[in-house]
Amino acid sequence: MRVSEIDLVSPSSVDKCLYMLRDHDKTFRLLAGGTDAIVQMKDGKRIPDIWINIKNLTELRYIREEKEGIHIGPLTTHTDIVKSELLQKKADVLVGASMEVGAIQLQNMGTVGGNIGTASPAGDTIPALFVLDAQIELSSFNEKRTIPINEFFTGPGKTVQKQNEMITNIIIQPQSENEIGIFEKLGPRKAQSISIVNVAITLRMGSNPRECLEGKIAFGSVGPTIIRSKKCEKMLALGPLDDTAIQDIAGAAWKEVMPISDVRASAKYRRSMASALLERGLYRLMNRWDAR
Amino acid sequence: MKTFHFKVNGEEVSVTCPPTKTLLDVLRDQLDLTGSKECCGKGECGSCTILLGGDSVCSCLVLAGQTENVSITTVEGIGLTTKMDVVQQAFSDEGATQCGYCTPGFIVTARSFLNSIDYIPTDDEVKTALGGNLCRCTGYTKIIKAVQTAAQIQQAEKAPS
Amino acid sequence: MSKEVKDVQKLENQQQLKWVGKSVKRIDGPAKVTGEQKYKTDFNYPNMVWGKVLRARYPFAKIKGIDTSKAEAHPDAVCVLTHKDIPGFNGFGIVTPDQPVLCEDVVRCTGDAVALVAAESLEAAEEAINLIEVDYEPLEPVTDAEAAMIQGAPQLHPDGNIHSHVTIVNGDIDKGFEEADFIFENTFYSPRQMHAFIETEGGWGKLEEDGSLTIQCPAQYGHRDKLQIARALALNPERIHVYSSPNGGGFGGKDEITVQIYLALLAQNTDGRPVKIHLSREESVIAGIKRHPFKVTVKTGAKKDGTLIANKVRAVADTGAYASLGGAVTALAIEHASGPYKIPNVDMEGFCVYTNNGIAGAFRGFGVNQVCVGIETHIDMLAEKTGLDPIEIRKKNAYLQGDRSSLGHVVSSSVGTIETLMEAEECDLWVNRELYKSQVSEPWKKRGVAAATSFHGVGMGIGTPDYGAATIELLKDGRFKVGVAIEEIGTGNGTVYAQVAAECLRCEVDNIAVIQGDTKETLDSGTISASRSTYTGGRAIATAAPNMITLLTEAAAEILNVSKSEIELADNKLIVAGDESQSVNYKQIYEKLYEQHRSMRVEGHFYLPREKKELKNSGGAPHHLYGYMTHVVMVEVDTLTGETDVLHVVAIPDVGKVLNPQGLEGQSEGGAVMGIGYTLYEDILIEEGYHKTKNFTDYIIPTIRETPIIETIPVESNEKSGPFGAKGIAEVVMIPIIPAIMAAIHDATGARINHLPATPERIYKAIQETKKQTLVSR
Ligand SMILES: Cc1cc2nc3c(=O)[nH]c(=O)nc-3n(C[C@H](O)[C@H](O)[C@H](O)COP(=O)(O)OP(=O)(O)OC[C@H]3O[C@@H](n4cnc5c(N)ncnc54)[C@H](O)[C@@H]3O)c2cc1C
Ligand code: FES
Ligand code: FES
Repeated sequence: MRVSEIDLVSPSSVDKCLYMLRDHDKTFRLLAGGTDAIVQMKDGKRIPDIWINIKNLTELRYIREEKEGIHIGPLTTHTDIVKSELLQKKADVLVGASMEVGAIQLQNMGTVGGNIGTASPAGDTIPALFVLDAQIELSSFNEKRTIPINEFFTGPGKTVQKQNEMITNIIIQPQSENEIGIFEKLGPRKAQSISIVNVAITLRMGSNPRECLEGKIAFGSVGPTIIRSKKCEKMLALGPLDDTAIQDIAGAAWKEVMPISDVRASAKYRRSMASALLERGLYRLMNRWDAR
Repeated sequence: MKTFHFKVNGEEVSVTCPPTKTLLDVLRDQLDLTGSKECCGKGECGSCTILLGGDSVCSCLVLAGQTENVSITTVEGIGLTTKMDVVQQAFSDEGATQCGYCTPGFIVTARSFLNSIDYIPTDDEVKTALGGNLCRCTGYTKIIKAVQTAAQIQQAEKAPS
Repeated sequence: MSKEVKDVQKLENQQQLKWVGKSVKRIDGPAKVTGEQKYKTDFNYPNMVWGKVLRARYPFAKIKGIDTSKAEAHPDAVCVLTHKDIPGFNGFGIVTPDQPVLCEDVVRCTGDAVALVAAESLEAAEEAINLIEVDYEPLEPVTDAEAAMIQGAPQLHPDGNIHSHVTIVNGDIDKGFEEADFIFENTFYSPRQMHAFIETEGGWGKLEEDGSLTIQCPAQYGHRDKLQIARALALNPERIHVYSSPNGGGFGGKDEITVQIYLALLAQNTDGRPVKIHLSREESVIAGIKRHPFKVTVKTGAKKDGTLIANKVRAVADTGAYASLGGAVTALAIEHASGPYKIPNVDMEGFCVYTNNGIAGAFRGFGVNQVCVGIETHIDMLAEKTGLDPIEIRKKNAYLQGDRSSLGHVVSSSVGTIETLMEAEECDLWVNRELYKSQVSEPWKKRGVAAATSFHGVGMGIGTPDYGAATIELLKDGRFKVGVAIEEIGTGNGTVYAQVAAECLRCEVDNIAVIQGDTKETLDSGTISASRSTYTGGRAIATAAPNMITLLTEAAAEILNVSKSEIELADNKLIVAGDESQSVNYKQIYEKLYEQHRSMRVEGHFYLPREKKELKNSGGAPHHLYGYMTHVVMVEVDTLTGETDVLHVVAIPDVGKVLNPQGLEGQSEGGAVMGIGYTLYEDILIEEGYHKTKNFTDYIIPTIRETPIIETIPVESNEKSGPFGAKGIAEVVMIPIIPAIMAAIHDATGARINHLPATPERIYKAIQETKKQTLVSR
C-alpha cells in the first residue's frame, strides 16, 4: 500500500469512532498525537488502510477526580499531565514520568493513550501507571471493559486490546497526603532519549522518621513488559529507610528483572542499573521526605 | 487527494494533497514556506517545529489530514527581516545562529516558551524548554543567552513606562 | 616585498581598526533567524523530478547482473541509470578516485551506489528503485582494520587493503626509552563520529537550454566538485556551474562529493527538467562519510623531572571502503601524535586501511582528535606518578617559536601553547578546583577537573597546493562586491570577509556584498576545511584591496585633476591630501569608470606559506602554521549509573589575532560541545558491515541540556603571515577537550576510559573495575 493512498478520517465523536472500528474489511489504526504511529508509518511498519484521527476528540481529553479515582482521558497530552495541579499533588510520579518524555514538542503532541497503545517496554508513563494501580477502560461499539494495567500488556508492542476497541479512560488511585513518588530514568542523554532503564516508585510513609508503611516499585525496559518488584517492595517496610536499608533493597532489585542486550545497553548493565536507579530514587525520595 | 482548509500565519489556505502528506511537506512544497526544515523526519531534531494552535509541535509528524480548521504559525509568521520579532532580533544580535539550518525551529520553540512566561528564565529553564531542538554548530551557549535577552526585552516592552 | 603587501601591512599595523577585532553581527543573521535564507535544498521548481539512489544490499559482494527493466516500466519513472550510462570515468575521490559513481562488478559497503532513478514523485522514485533487480554474490566482509592488514585477508582494492602508510622518525627511540624513568603504554579506541549536520546531503541538477549543467548543492569546495563532475561526465568543466553556498552545516562531511555527480547524471537524462535529491537521515547515515575510527597504541617515556623523552605511536585508521581523504587524515594524525611538544625521540607510524565499514573521510580535527588522547593521557599519568603539576609538565615540554618540535623541524611561525597554559593555570576553575570539586550536587556524585592541550595545522601542508583568491568589484551604488569561492558552512567567514574588506577599503561593512560558493562568479580559492578559510580568504581579500585602492586612486586623481600621489584614502571617500573639501566618493568613481568602459574588478591571489622540506614518508608534514589550544573542564560523574555531565569548560585558543570575538566564541562553543559529543555520546555502530545506528533516534548528539558553561579566553600570538595577525581555529576548538574530559573523569572516579565514547555503561564498568582493584590491593 502506498502511503499516499492511505485514507484518513476524523470521526466527530467517540461513538462514531467506535462504529467505524467495527468494520473488518479494512485495517484501521487510531492516530492520536502520531508521535509513534507516524514514525512507524514512515518506517513502513504497521501501515493501515485508513487512519482514524482521534486527535480532535476533546471529549477524551480530561483529568478529573471522581469517587473511584482520578480519571485521565487517553487524549490527555504529556504537557496536560505536567501542568495539572491535581496530578502534581496526587500523582507526582506520573507527572515526573511525563516530564521525561522526549522534549517539549513531543510532550505537546504525545498522549498518554498513545503511550499505552504503543506498549513499548521503554514507555515512560507505564511504570508510573503501574504504581498508581491504573485501570484501563477499553470500549467497543457494544461493550466496555476495564482491565487492571498489570494485565493489559502481553508483550513488547502487544496488549489485550482488540481491533474493534479503543482506550477511553484511565483510572488511577490518587496518592494520599503521606504518599510520595518519584520517576527515575536512565537514558543516553537528558532530552530526547529512550529509556535504557526506568523505574517508578511510590511510598506510603509513617509517622516515625523514614518509616515506610508500604511501597510500590515498577521497572521499565528490563523485561518484555513492565516488572513490579515485589521482593523489594516487601523490604521497604522492614525498617527505617536509612542509607544501608536503601542499599540492601536496591541490591535485591537486579534479581527481579530480566533485561536483554541491544544497541543501547547490555543486559548486564541494565540489570545493575535497575538497582542503581532504585537506590538513587530512594535517596532522593528520603531527602524530600526529610525536608518535609 | 483531498482538500484541507486551515490557517497559516493568519491567512486562510486550502491545500489539495494526499491526507498522509506531512504538514512539513505541505508547507515547504505547496505553500513555499521553506523556513521549516526537515532534518530527521522523526521528531528528534525540532527543525520542523511550528505552532499548532499555540503549541510547539514537530510538523514532520503531523499529517495534512489532521490540519482541517487548525491555525498554524511558522517561523515566517513570527517575523520577517522587515519586522523581526524580539526573539529573532536577539538570536541575530547574540550570534545564536551559525549555519542557520536549525534556527527557524529554535525561533518557533523559543517564541512559544516566551509566550508562556513573564520573567527572565534561568539557564536550566531555557534548557528544558529547548531540549527538543538540535543544533550542531553553536554549542547552544549563545542560544541560551539570546532567549534570555529576548525575555528581558519582552519584559521591558510590557512594563508600564 | 611588493608594494601591495607593504600597503596591507601598513594598514594592519595601524592601531585603530574600525571593523577587525569587533563583534560585527553576522551579515546573514537576519535572513537565517526569519527563515528567509534559502538553502539549496529549499528551492522548488514547477516541472521538477525526484532523484533517488539505489544503495548496495550487502557490505561486500560481487555484482553478477543488474536488471532495470521493471523499474523502467514503472509508469512514473523518468529514467533509470547504471554504470553503463556514465559517459566518462566511473569514479570519484578527492585524492584517489577509487569510489565508483555507480558500481559495476563489486560493492564494498552498504553506502555504495548501484543505480539511479528519476521519477515524478519521491514515492514513485522509491518504488522504481525497489524494482531494480541486482544479482549479487555476497562475499565475506572485512570488518576490522587490523584484520584487513593481515596477509590473506580478502582484498578490497587491487593494491591491497593498506591504502597508505606514513612514518615520522626523529632521534633514537630505543635510547629514549632507555633513558626514561617512567614508561606508559596504552591503546586507545575512537568512535566513528558522524558530522550530523542538520541539513542532510542534497540539491538540484539542471541541464540548461544551452547545454550547460547547473548544480546547486551544499558543499565545501565547489570548484573541485566541478572537476570531479566533469571527469565522470566527460564534460568540459567550464560548462558546469556549481552553486555550493550556504550549507546547513558541513564540518568536513561535505568536502567530498556527496550527490553532485548523481544530480549531474540524472539532469542529463530528464529532458531539461530539474532533478532533486535530498537524502533522508537514514540514507545519510549509511552513505555519508564519517570520522575514521582509530586504534592507537602509544608508548611514552619520561624522566622523573617531567621531561618527555620518547614517544612511540602506532595508529591504524579504518577508512571504510574508499580512500576519500583517509591518507591525508592519517598523515595529519601522525604529524600531531606527539603533541605540541619537543620530545627528542619519536617513532610514529600510521596505516590507513580499507574495510567494508561504510566510508570515512574529512571531519573537523582531521585525525588529531583520535591521536591527541595518547600523549595527553600519558602526561596526566606522569603527573600522577611524580606528583608534578600536570600543567607544569606541559609547559616544560612545549616548544616555543624557533624551537625544534618532536618532528625535528624548527617551528618558525607563532606558537601560543605556553600562553594558553598560563591562562589555564590562572583561570578561576583551575585555581579553585578543589572548592568546585567539593560542591557535588548529590552525595553519590563525584567531580573532577582537568586540563589538556593540543594543536592543529592550518592549511594543507606540503604537497597539496594551497592558495586563496578573491575579487573585489566596485558596484553602481558605490558599494563593493567581494567574491571568495570558499563557502559559508556556518562559520561566519562571509562576515569576516566583509570586515576585512571594509577595513582595507575604509568603508562601512554594510557596503560590502559578499558572494561565496559560486563557480561562475568567484575564483577558485580552495576548500572550506583545514581551518583555512578565515586565514586564506581574509588574506586574499587583503591582497586584492590595494589593487582596488590603486584603481580608485587613479580615477579620483583624474576626477579631481591632481596627480595620483596627492590622493589619499579617507572614510568612504578619496580626498586630496590635506584638503578634505576636495573629495570623491565611490559612487562618483563608479560613474567615471563606467563612462570610460574601464574594468571595475580587481583580483588578489595568495599562496599559503609553507615549509621547504617535507619529512620523509610523512605524507605532507610539517605544516608551516599551527593553532594551539588548552581546555580546562569540570565533569560530574554519577557513580551509581556512570552518567557524566560536563559542567564547565574554559576554552583557551591561540588565535593569532581575534578578528570577530563573537564569531570566535561561536566556534569555540560549538567545538567544545562537538568534542563533548565525541567523548561521551557519539558513535555509529557497524556490525558485519551493516549499520546498527540508523538515525537520530540512536545517534546521540548533545542537546542544549548537555551544554556546559563555556568561557572562551583567547590568547593572541600575532601570526605575521595571517590577515591582521590571525590564524585558523575552527578545528582545534574541539580537540584538547577530548583528553581533558577523559582526565577529568579519572580525577573524579579514578577510572580511565580508553575506549570512546565514554558512555555511562563504559564509565560504570570502569568504576566497578577500579573498586575491584582497590579491594585486591588492600
Ligand atoms: C522523538 C521522540 C521521542 C520520544 N521520547 C519518548 C520518551 O522519552 N518516552 C516515551 O515513553 N515515549 C517517547 N516517545 C514515544 C511517544 O512520543 C509516546 O509514546 C507518546 O505518548 C505516544 O502518544 P501519541 O499520542 O503520539 O501516540 P500515537 O502515535 O498517536 O499512537 C501510538 C499507538 O497507540 C494507539 N493509540 C493511540 N490512542 C489510542 C487510544 N485512545 N486507544 C487505543 N489505542 C490508541 C495508536 O493506534 C498507535 O498504535 C518518543 C517519540 C519520539 C518521536
Ligand atoms: S524533522 Fe521534524 S523533528 Fe526532525
Ligand atoms: S546553527 Fe547550524 S545547526 Fe544550529
